[in-house]
Amino acid sequence: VSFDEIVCREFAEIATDYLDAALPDATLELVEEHLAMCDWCRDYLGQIEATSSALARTAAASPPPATLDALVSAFRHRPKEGPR
Amino acid sequence: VIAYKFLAAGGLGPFSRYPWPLPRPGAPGAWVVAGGGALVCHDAVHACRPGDLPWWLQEELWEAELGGTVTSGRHKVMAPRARLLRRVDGWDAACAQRFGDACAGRARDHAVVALDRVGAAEPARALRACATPREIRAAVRAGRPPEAVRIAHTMAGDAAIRALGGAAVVAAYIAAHTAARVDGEPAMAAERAWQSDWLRTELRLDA
Repeated sequence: VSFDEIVCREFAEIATDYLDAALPDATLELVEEHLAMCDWCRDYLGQIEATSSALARTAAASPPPATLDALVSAFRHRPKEGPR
Repeated sequence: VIAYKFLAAGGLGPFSRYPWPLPRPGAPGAWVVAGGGALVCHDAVHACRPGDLPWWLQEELWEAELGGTVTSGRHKVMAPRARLLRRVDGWDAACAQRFGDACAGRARDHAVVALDRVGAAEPARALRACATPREIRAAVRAGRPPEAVRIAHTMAGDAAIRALGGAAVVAAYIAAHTAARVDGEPAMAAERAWQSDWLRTELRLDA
């Protein structure tokens, strides 16, 4: 049996896209259906928001370009598939 | 178009935290227009048809009028603007608890079907005899079902635990998934339809 819904692990992958309002409508509906009933993911989302807000208040310090490139590359190549 | 809107306590959008303008005596709330920057949902205001309600339970339920072209999502409708007309007073903590308890009972029934099918007479009898979520939780903890139906049996216990904790929306979700585990995906749709009918009848909502 398969269902058209997301699970917590999948939500964690796209939580920041959700906060940035960058999700397509179909995915947004799945996310909000999940959030409506998952207090764990709501807590996680709150933690991400709090972290983002706190970081935004700190002095902006850009890492060296090489470090930034390495971080972006690592993020882009992170594994996205795996057990749920 | 008349639809329904679940809001968090205090008339807040559950995701946007947007404070919806509430109706005053004899007057609906002010229109809320999508795209004004106040809503997370950038291009539409979201609401429920009666059949969508079990997915979105929150503390408050409101009847809402949708304006503009209304489109349908999987389990919601979208419109360019909406305003609140009246609160559905029948939906309160006690009603949510009754609904959660009913869903726990449905999950129990699905688990009993699974137990009967594999001839697990004793766990089936024990679970069938349970009238409350507390009894279901105890029976599941004490039961030793065959491996083939262990998950459905456990899910019935999980639904009871979430009902006892006041999480009706989760009990409903588990009941739907228990139905699916026992009888496949059509059973999930049937279970969600049963839940919608329960809410529609209990709250005397228009179909």
